[in-house]
Amino acid sequence: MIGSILTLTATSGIGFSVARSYRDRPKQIALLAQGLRLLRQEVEFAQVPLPLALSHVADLLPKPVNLLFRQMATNLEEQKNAGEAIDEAIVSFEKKLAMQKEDYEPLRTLGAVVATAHRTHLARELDTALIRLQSLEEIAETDRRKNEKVWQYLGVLVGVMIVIMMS
Amino acid sequence: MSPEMRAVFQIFGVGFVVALMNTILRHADKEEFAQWTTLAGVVAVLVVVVGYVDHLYQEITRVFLNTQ
Repeated sequence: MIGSILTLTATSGIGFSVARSYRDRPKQIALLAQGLRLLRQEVEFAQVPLPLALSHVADLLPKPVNLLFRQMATNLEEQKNAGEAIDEAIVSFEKKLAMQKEDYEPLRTLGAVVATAHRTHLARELDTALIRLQSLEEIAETDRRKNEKVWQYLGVLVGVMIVIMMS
Repeated sequence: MSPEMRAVFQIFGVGFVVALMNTILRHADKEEFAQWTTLAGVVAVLVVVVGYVDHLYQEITRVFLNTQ
């Protein structure tokens, strides 16, 4: 009886956690896009240096996406170049966020050009990244609609199946 | 509950769960996974049934061929 309950809880937990990662992905992409929009404002209108702008953005965003921006700001303050700072921040937060590898690509591309770009050019690159993030968000949203409920149900049903087979 | 009745309920349960999974997966455009689930269900039921089939085969040989 206890074994059955534990099995059912474990499989349901796995199902729900996979479903949660599908649910969180579009939200986090949207937050990342919002962060880039704020960064664009900071850089273009307030003309703040990049590390300070990134930490302002981190202050405005909710967890856990703000941690990515905070890490980027910290890396930049440690005198790393922009490309490295962004790459290292992505590597250290890749596992903790629900976003997938391709969702960070616009940010990586941005990191590669940001070191050499002029202020006006940077705003244009941020716009390009935002457009790409928007299309990624739509893909993530379609994935969520397709998979979220399926994983929730499958987790429970696989648990029920194992319990039936073991009883 | 007798072992035979237990097996019947197990097969019913597996069939029910597999049918549900099949519907959910087809609904999510995952035809291939749905087919694999059905196959897994068939294998699971075979695992339950194989002992009884063996027993039946031995009974038949005993009754008709008188070998045991």
